[in-house]
Amino acid sequence: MNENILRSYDIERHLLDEVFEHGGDIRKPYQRLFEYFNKYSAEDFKRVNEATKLSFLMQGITFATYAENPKGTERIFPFDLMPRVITAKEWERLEEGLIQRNVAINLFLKDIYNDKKILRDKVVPAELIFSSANYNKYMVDFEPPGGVYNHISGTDLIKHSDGNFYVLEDNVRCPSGVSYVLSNRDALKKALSVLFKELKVGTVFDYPAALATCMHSVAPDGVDAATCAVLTPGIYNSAYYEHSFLAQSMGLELVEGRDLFVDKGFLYMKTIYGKKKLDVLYRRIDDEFLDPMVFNPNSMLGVPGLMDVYRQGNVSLINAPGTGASDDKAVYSYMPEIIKYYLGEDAILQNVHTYQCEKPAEMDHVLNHIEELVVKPVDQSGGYGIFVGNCASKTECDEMRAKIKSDPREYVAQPIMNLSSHSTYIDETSQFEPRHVDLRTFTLMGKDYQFVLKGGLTRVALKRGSLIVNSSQGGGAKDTWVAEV
Amino acid sequence: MLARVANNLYWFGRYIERAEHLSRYLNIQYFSALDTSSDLQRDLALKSIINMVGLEGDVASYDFEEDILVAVAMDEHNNASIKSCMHFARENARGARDLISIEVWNAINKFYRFIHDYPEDFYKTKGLYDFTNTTIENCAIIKYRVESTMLHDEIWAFVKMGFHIERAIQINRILISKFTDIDRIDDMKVSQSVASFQLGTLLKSAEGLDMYHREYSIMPKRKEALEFMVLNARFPRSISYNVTALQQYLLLVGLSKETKKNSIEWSIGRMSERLKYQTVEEFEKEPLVFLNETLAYLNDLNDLLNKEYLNY
Repeated sequence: MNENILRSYDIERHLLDEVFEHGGDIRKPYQRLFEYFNKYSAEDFKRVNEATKLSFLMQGITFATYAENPKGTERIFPFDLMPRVITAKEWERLEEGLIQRNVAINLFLKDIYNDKKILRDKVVPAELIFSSANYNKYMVDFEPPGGVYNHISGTDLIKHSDGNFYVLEDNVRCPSGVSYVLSNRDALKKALSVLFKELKVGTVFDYPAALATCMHSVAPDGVDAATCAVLTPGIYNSAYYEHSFLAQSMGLELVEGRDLFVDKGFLYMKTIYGKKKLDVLYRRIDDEFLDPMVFNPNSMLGVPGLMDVYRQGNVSLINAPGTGASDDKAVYSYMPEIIKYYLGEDAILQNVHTYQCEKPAEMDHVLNHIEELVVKPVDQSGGYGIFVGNCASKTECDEMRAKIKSDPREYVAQPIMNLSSHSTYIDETSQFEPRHVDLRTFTLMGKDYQFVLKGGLTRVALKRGSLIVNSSQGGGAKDTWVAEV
Repeated sequence: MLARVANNLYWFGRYIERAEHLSRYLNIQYFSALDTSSDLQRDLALKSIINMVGLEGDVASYDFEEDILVAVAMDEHNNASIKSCMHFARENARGARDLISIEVWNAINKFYRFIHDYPEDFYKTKGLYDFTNTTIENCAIIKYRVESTMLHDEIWAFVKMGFHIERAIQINRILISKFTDIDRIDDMKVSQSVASFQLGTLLKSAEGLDMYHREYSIMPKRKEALEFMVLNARFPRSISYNVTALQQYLLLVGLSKETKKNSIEWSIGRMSERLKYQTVEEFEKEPLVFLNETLAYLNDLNDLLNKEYLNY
């Protein structure tokens, strides 16, 4: 090692480090990057790092919290200058696997809300679906425009110590984060311009056009030039930057619930010249808040009567309501069977083995091996409620056991996967240290249209040793390069 | 365009323009009074600042002069302060973020960071000029970016309407504030040079002193200064100029070819024509009556715009 920012890099040998071999050699895809970073003195690198952070702040690429100050305290998402590299060859297979998986999820959703064949054939237990809080009865016996449910899927992958990618979870409700992929790329292009040329990094800036194509492809029947919009909860939502970014980059209106109303079976927005019909709505609010007449009656974010317009086929919602029935962590464990059932193929992307606490034998295993497992509530997102066995005290383990016993359907468990680690610049020590990473990918599906964003959002757990990468809990991000190296 | 977003754009324009005028007024009033030996001038300056910003209380209700300066510029609990104006300008721009250009947004945001991070202690002792001057410059940058990077369509027109109505209102307020000062001076029977000095700061507060000189080639006088600030058709800060500009942008937004009685187009058309043919002799004796009427008219205009376009 040298005396600069990588001076005392400490490879954790029991884990997979994506940049360094166990012996300390640089892995091939990173050789050029390493050479480049190595030229920086600690001081210079600090300067580049600060300048990049400042540029995020100046562009207002921030999220706000309102706890300390009613006018909001703004923070940037921590962003790391060392990119993660996935080789073009490795990516090809991931892309194939992502499309396969999300096509199967779409067929699964169509089935469980209509013919229910997979449940009748007992491939997936019916009670697992019907007991899910996310099974939406307003979607029963209805097929959305274009037959698409999960237009946008955020599939989270991890790289295990065996060097393979595994699926950690599916997110097919309102997966977020794509705007950070694009703004991180923008920032990194300015900082590392030389490298982009050399390594032929795949672009991510085709995402907005792909999303627009996807939206138009599922316009209601008989609509030629669809009017599309993005529905946001408003400027105080933590993801507002992303909502406005997507609307702006697709040239669509960014609407709030109060801008919309329903009249005689159609959805309209209130413009300066009166009402204008809307055909496709990319909604960034949860199912529960969509329509106070059928879901949460106190919702101020949605539009009264929207579900009625939807069921009449006069507006397309992206994603369809009720998709949550397919991405909870209990259904996840059936994904290999689901893919086999609908496509007759073996799953290209492997699941992390999952124990279903509702099966008595599996629950016993979980209770007896809780120290070696990660236990997750089935229907929580954002990394909340996750129990990591090897970090918990004896009392905490006992508490967890009691919770599982009292509500087995609520929990699944997985072996503690050794999320790979990656060299990450740490402000406090002004040098690179290994940190755990995962990868959120983005897959789009329209009518006869599929697209996978090249790379995705590499999320970093900034706390040393932590496995939780969510931004709400101290996570940061890296740019992800699909590169010919 | 969404009515709510049109409202955001309009208010974004108004708050930017307001921040600029407040900053300039604070700057000009404060510094012009510094090198006068009379306490009267200094007292008048502070009073005038309080009036213009619309703070509660009078000079006596503040323990220290710095407290007034902080309340006007940096107090985030005071919704009329420059800092609050900038906060609201940015919130409104954020609500229309997908429609304004990235260049406009970046200019707003960069400026917001400047104001947000400005150290209060430095401002109180050394930073007043820097703070107000940088604010004025940044407002100019934002306005230039609106002009040069946005499509000149109805979205732009709503921002422009915000600029012009706010400018007309602020100029009107400045005139009211200064003519109130001048009346006070007249009552006190002090020398004429004090009144002339006030007219000078009035013109400077609209960045109009040098152009006034070009127009009249005399030192500031009451009648000429009033005429210049209210009726001059070529001075971009006169009330008449801004009302005419408002009329133009409204035409760009308005769809209907005919102008209905009592509509906003009708109302502003009448006002614009009236100001074109008005003479200063008609109101120079009692400028405050005229100015208060005009201000009331401009506020009604805002209500009409709300009713016809922004009501969602």
